[in-house]
Amino acid sequence: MNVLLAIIVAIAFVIIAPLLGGLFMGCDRVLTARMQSRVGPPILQPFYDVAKLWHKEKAFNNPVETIFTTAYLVLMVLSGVMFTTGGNILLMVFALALAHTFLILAAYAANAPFSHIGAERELLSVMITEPVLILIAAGFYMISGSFQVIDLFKTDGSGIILLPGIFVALCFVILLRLRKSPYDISTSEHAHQELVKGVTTSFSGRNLAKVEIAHWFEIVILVSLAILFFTHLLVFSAIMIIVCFSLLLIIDNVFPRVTWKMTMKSIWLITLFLGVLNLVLLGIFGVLL
Amino acid sequence: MYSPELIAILILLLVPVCAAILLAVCKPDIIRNILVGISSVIIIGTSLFLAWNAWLAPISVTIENAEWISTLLFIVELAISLVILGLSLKYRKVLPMILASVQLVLLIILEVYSAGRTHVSQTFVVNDLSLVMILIIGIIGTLICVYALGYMKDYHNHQTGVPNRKRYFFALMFLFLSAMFGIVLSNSLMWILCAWEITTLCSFLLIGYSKTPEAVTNSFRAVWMNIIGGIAFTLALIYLLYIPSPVNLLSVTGMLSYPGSAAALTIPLALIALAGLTKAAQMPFSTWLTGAMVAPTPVSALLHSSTMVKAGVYILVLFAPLFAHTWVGVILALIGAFTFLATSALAISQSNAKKVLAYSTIANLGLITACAGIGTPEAVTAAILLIIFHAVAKALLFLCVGAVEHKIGSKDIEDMDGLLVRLPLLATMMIIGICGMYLAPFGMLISKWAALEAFLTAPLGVVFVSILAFGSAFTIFFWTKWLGKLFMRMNKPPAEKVTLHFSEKLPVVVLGVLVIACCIGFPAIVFGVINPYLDTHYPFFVPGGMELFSFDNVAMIGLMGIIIVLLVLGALFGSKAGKTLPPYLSGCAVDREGRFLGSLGVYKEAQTSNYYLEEYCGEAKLLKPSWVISIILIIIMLGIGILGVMI
Repeated sequence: MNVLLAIIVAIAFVIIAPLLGGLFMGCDRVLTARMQSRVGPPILQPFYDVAKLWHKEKAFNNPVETIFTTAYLVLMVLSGVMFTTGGNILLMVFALALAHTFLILAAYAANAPFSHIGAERELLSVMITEPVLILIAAGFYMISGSFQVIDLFKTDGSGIILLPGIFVALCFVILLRLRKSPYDISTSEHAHQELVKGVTTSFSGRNLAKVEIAHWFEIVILVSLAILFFTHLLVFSAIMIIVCFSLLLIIDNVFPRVTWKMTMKSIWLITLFLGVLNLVLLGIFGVLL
Repeated sequence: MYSPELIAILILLLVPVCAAILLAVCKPDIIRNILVGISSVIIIGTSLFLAWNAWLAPISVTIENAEWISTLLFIVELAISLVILGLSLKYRKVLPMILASVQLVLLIILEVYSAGRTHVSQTFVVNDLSLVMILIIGIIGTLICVYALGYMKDYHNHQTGVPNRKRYFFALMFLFLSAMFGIVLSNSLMWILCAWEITTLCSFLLIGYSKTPEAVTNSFRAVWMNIIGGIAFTLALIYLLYIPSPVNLLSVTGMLSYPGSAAALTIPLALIALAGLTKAAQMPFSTWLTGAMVAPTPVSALLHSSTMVKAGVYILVLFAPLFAHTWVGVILALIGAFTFLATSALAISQSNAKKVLAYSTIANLGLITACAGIGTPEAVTAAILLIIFHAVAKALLFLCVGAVEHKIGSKDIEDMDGLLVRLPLLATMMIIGICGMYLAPFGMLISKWAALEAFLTAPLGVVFVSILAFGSAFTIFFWTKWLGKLFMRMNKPPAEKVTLHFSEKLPVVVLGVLVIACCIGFPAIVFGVINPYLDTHYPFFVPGGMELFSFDNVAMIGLMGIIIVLLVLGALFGSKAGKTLPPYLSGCAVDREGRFLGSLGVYKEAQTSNYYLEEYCGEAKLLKPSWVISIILIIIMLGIGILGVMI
């Protein structure tokens, strides 16, 4: 990809991704409300929230929160840019982990019970996510012979056919990363719970707004990661996304939160039995294909 | 008459020995400081000179009278065995006694049978791999010795029960440096064996420095495990004598240029692998290294993280071309990868900073072992990068923990909250070290990527990749929770005004700068040092074959680095406007400091502590199964060695 095109794509991503992510959150809130027989907020509510947060008074538990939340946002954007410009998927995974590290550090910095437990839980979920992301990178490498996203489009094999197990593991990880029940261990939409707001408890005003925007980016990144499995079936992927999204909402509303132990066990068992097994089989039979 | 390179080599081997003798004799602190300073400058200068020359062209020199030196070294080996035997008798330790006697007998057998056949045409060989090791030993090693000057002063102020044996301590540290140079410079395997035994002895004596019952027990554990390695090494040499070969197999270059099939060498290779595993404290030998943490911190930094344990993996990486395409290599790699996984998980359950560092050291050595066992050029690239980055970052971390321990009186990570405010310099350096160990865009991550790329093309690659995926998830967990502690808002009173000795400050800062320099300079390391090395050892090596080192990716890593720098600058100079409020504590009965107000007017601190996942990652839970698995793997490795199976 030439540099100019890459820059244009990057700028487009930076503008469009938060809009998509925000809209996703808005739809989520409306649909969830309807499922619970409520009217719910306007679909643009997440944008109103962030706009309001942005103009609030600057306050924090620890001044380092400002820089850490900025780092979280910047690295999340970088990770997405790397991804959408067809860059390296492994670097994207590392950038994503680094971004989350900053969020966790910001939560630690408050040195207060609720945000601390949120930080620990968030750290756990980063730990739980990591193997799946690395296996995805490894799986794509086995298909295309490279970690570059762009090369994946040049190969004949399609992710969903060759790596179905890893795709399922990714779906579970998306559930965890979007902090949806039953995996909303580090924080959730609702503050009336034992964790208060978990990892984001100590943030307010602009810092919280940055965390929200970064989360929108993350949604888009994760969904695009899922789309990568459908390189030759892009239309089909659109249908799949809508199906998955509906499923996600239903799961979120039906299941109660599980403990972090249960989260770790269930997701890692899926990673091991579907993800690793998938790679093993691909390794054995990949030669034949 | 002597070439400058040979003089440099002799300086590196002999100056530390002379310094050791002088340090053993001179009592006053001031003389010790001067001696350590002068010899450090000489060693650093010489190793830079030698490394520069070796970089221009690999050095290979021959000296006359090598037989005399061989005999002398044999006597040294016997003396070492006798010392260990004597101390085992004194402390009534049966197992070390038996093993040391076996070792003694084997050494004599080796000497008798090898008489007249030990002539090695090249005495010293310095290639790009030994160059890396020389720089690590020469620079990091001496910096740690300098650091020890200030540290030991404080150590004896804190540990009043421990007899002051500083002369003994420093003499051993310098003797050890000389032995390490011996391992990486010598070409003869007999000489390497002798240096190997000296490092075992130094480690043994230094672990037992404080002579407390715990230290004595742990030092004997270290010595018997290492003697197993010594025995394996000696057996490998004895076996090598019986392989008919046109080249002298008792030398590194001889073994690497063995014209026949590597299938003939699998037995000695498996034995050398076992020796490497013991030295590098891989499972099931990991307990000696975690036990060694009772030693003063400079010992842990020098012997047990940045140099001595590296000797184990150095030998493995040296013979990596032979391990490639043998099942011995694959099983060795499996042991390494398994160790990486198990010890990374174990590190989660530790709150003692030194133990976390010890487990993380073993884990990284495991990754290096895995790469060496696979033995492809990509894997060796990853292994060498890991050796470099780990040596620098881990030495820095040990030195920081040592200094912090003396300032705050604890090496428990739970006591390090708000360290950035309490001890800004040390905490900053610690942060650099921790980031260097696992975060993008720092070095370790680059090497993990290289390892991943190498694994993907290896036999059983998927297994290695999965192990790496889960293992690095564990490393993220234990490093991040440590890092989080350092940034915490302070709930504790600041430590009283503390001053850091100059001799402590200097090495810490220099190492901090080195960590960053290595991260920035990694393309230079790869293209300038590692690729030429691979070029000479792998006939079909294609430089630039790894995706990691493509321009785009290096540029992206660079971009990430620039972003981090900007963020750090933002943190230092950015606007700090805003109100600092007490944290949210459910609202009721809380004061401005963020404390709870009890019903009788007592203030209670809101306390937090990290997750340790004892239930899953505790030593009680994980150690025994890991021993069983790794012992089975070692038996398989030796069995395959005897069968000589090739891929």
